[in-house]
Amino acid sequence: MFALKQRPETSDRDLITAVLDGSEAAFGELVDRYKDRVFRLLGRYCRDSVECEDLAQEVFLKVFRKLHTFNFESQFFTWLYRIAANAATDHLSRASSRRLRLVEDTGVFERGDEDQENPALPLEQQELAAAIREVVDSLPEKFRTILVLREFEGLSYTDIAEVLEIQLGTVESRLFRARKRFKDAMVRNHPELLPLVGAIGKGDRR
Amino acid sequence: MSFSNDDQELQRYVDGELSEADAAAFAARMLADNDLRQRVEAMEQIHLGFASARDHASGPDRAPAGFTASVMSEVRRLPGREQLQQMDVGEGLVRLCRGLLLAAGILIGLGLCWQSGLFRSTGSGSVEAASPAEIEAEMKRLDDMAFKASSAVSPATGTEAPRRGK
Repeated sequence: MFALKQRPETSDRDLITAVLDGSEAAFGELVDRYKDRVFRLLGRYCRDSVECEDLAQEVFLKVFRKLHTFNFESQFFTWLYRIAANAATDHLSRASSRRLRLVEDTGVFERGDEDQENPALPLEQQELAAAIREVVDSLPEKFRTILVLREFEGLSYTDIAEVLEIQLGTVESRLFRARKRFKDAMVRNHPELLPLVGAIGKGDRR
Repeated sequence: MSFSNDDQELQRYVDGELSEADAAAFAARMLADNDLRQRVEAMEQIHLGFASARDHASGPDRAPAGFTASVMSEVRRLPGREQLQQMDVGEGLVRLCRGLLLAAGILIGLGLCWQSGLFRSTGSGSVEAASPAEIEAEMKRLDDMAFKASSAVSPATGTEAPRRGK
């Protein structure tokens, strides 16, 4: 039984092979391994935790259904991210009649205990964070996705290229254009917050 | 918007995607180039702004308790792996059929257009490529058209119809 052999060091490849051989437990292990990252990514696109959970479930079910098409040429997590990013994009277009925003409202999600109080967080930073999310939300989908993957998820250029199935050069130029658009929109919509960005930067460097 | 080699290098530097040697060379260049330094600082500020937004996100940091169990209960309702693969093949066939139908529709449309004379060429297609005989024939055709048109108009307006050329 696979469950008996589960160890932290079990590779994704071994887990996938086990799933394809019929092990449910192996798939449970894959879900456990990646669910937080998928939630974090989808959280950038959803309005509330219920919506996010539904979407995450949809993603993992699709992963299960399509797992036999995964060819091990890319990393599993980039393949998973591709499915999640596509699901998020589809979700946004399905909900385009509503104004679906990147999550910006404090308290919309149920937060962990450690964030409930949040007394140390200056109001300015909350304002800036909300403005940044609002501006990212207003960008065209391809710019928003690449900013989310790079700036929020911290993916390397190579990983982004795998997730979005585009050339490395395209990743760089699209990212550059996305940042330019972001900056222009910040200047246009929230000029009063721009000095804060610099101030936070200096503070973070200390 | 153009994306120059300088932009590319600058962005790679800020994103930490340059090799150590290249990053050191870039940093040295930056010391001597005030404009470059300002551009780097501007991009770093954007980068740090995002970092701040990420750190203060109100979205979920982790999946709720029981999420895996909930996914697994849905997974158990799915058909077996073999059946899933067959469904995948079926979906592929449906997509293929759709593509073929679309291609057939386009071909039929083009055929109808061709039959109705939309694509019919009256000669070589350009004056440069046309032979003298083709040019002569085309001029005669245009003359005929002009003659017919003016003949149709002249009786009503009372103007004299132009004489037909040779």
